[in-house]
Amino acid sequence: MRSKWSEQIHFNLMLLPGMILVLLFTIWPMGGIVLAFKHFIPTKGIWGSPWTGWENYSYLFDTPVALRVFKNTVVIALMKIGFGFLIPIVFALMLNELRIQWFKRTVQTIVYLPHFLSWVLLAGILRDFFAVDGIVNQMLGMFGINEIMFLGENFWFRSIIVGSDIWKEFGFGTIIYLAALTGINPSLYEAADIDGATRMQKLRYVTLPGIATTIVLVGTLSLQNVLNAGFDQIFNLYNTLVYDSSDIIDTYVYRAGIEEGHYEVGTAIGLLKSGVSFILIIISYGLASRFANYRIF
Amino acid sequence: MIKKFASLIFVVLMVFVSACGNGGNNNNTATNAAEGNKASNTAEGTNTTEPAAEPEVAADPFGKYPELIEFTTIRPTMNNPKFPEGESYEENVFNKFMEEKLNVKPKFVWMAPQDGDAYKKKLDLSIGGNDIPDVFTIVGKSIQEVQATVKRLVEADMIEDLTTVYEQYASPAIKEAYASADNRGLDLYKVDGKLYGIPSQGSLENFNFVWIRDDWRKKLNLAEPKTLEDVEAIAKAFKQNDPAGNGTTIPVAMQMQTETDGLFGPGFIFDQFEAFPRLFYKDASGQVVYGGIQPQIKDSLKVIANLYKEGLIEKDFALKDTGQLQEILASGRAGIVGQAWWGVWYPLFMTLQNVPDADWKPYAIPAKTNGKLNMGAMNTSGSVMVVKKGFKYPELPMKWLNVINENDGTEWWIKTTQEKYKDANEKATVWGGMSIMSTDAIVNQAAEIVAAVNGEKDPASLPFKNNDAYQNIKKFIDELQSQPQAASKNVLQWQNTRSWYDAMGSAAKLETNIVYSAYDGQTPTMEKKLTALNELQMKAYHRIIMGKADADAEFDQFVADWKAQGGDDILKEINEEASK
Repeated sequence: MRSKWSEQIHFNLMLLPGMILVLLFTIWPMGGIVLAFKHFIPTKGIWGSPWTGWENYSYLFDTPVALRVFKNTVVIALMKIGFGFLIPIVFALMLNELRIQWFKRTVQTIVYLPHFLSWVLLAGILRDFFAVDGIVNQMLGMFGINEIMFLGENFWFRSIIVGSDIWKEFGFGTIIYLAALTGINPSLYEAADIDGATRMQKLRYVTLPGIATTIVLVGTLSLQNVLNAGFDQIFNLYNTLVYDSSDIIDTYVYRAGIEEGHYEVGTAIGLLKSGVSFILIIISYGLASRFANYRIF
Repeated sequence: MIKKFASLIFVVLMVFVSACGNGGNNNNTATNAAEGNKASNTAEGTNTTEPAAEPEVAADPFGKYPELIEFTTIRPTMNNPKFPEGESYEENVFNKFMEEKLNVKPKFVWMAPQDGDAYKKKLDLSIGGNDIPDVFTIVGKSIQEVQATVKRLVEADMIEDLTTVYEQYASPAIKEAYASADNRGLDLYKVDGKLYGIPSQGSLENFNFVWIRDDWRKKLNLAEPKTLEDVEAIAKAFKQNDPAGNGTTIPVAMQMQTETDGLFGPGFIFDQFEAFPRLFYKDASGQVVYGGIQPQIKDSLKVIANLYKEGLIEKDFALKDTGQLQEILASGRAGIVGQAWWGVWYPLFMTLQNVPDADWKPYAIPAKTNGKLNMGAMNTSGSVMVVKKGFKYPELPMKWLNVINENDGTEWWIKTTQEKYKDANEKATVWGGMSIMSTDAIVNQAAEIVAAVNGEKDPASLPFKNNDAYQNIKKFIDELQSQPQAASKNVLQWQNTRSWYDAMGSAAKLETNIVYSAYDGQTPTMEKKLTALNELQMKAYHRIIMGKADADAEFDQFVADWKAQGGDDILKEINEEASK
């Protein structure tokens, strides 16, 4: 026992800075969530402000648009999760089948790039792109199609939100799967070749089982985002005309709460969202360990 | 050994936790400091009454401080301010003048652009962080928003009670100005009968004028418009003849993203039907009603919908913001816009910078319904200057405003702004304060100027600022306006003529009908639901204008929804409060 400790001293020391950071930036600020049940008065600080019970939540639930913002949040988030989950897998499998290495690398890099651009920037570009006199409408015009107000129509707007989010992020997801694909033992493919497997059979019986754990892991982690429909993207693109299809919890709370200085409302909604995400993580973790026999912890 | 090491880690953790604790305690120390301030305040509270008893310091609204006082403040900035060499927001003629007069000097803790709410958002953060400057102005999209901020500050005990400061230090001219609106501006920022801020006040003359590119109108041989139909006919002619070229003409440039009034809004059409989309006012029976759900709104929307259908306004007008409208103006593509009488000063002069032949002219169109010039008048006290609790000289901003109010019409000041700060951007930049005007100030001023131009009044009898406008107008009308490119070569004369003489002068010829807002506060239901209701309203208006739904059915549905989703409760609360 004694020798074990003395052997591990330097490991523990190396752990210390990380622990301090976690305590300082993750555990300590958690105390601030009491604000969700208080009426914030700046001079009194977080602890000195009076308690109000559940009143901050009524801000969201009393509004006539509560149903709309909940529905939009869940629908947009589910669409993003669904497509954002499938497309990288398919794309990674397709890339994996390519023989020319430099082409594969180039494509990989290019699709990965948009991940690093901020939504503020991209929103500006998208707005120009899809404007009534923008390039997309000009191209449609060549085919005799009347101009469409993409950013002002509910149907188109939601498609653009989901589509542009997938376009921005699928390259990043692809990289994860490509990494997992390189981890598959090549001798499995050789064995399959000897057994006379076709390409599709190799995909079905070697490749997919090889990356199944990664798929489950990514799928599990993405489920926590059911209430996160992407504030910075929608906030930079939306307008009054498309509130019906795109106003989500975050944007509504921003307009009605934060803009008027009600920080406690923001905290309350943040806490609610975290609570829901926490439950969803537990559920999806249970599903993952049961069906894929995978354990994260 | 284990114990030793464990305790070492423990000690390190302890140090760290207490460090955290300190970090958190900053809040507490701030609270303590605030409480300390409170204590010293009450001490000063008695102090302020003391010097009031001393005759020399006692309540001289223009009294110069014996020593230089630096105070911290913040300010909104204009777009692209271009200062003369060596000048800045802190170092300029205006601040030097104030220093000479009062021996005070502003120190800007931060500055943020006025456009896009940046100033307001930053201020909100400062308030939330309990880090406010000594003196500052609160602005907002609406009076309710400003009031809510003031209430929050009072509740948090962050700002000074200015009741006695106002009584003792406000100059007679300023008191008179507030009185012209029955002190309604002051009432807005009282909490429990105590005044917590000095509000701005505008003059009530913001009628909606129809501004037309007169060079285009003349080129196409069209008569001056007298009715709404005439305006529509001119718009159609602009569309057919495309004076901007290459199909880029926008006959009616309009913006209506989140508001129905404001710069470039369709206000001039709503006025035609006595419709006031965002106003709570008293109807004939004395009940407070909401303008946005009245049937005359529907009539106005149908007119706008027709413009939309004929392609006279942009297809994506509902997506455009003020910045984009300014681009359209600057590029010279717009033919007709709705603007206030001062539209030429900002932003219409922008057209001249790129199109030297351009000329904008305002027309006051009498309403279809009553033949008058209608105006829905919100309370004009939309911003307020407050003082941080514990600031030693709570009367300082009052004195500051007194001095501005006393000097902004002097020959020296007008000449300085015109010569040194020629660009309109810069003029507004140098101003540090708010205007507090009597409600009829502009109307009276305009009447004097127009009378002088028409030879009904001796120009020599005019005060300097009116005389200056008169000189410019006279020159423009008598010799300049017949020359080519008259407007762009003589911008100042042109601006004076179009605003004072053409806009205000034509308004004075019509009978006016001013509908005052009956309630400017915020009821409990408003606080929770008004944002959503306003959005509901804009959505319905947009759908009707864009022809997405049958106008009558959609409007009836909107009115029912508005009432059911909290509108009825709001009206009930307002009527109860009004009957008290």
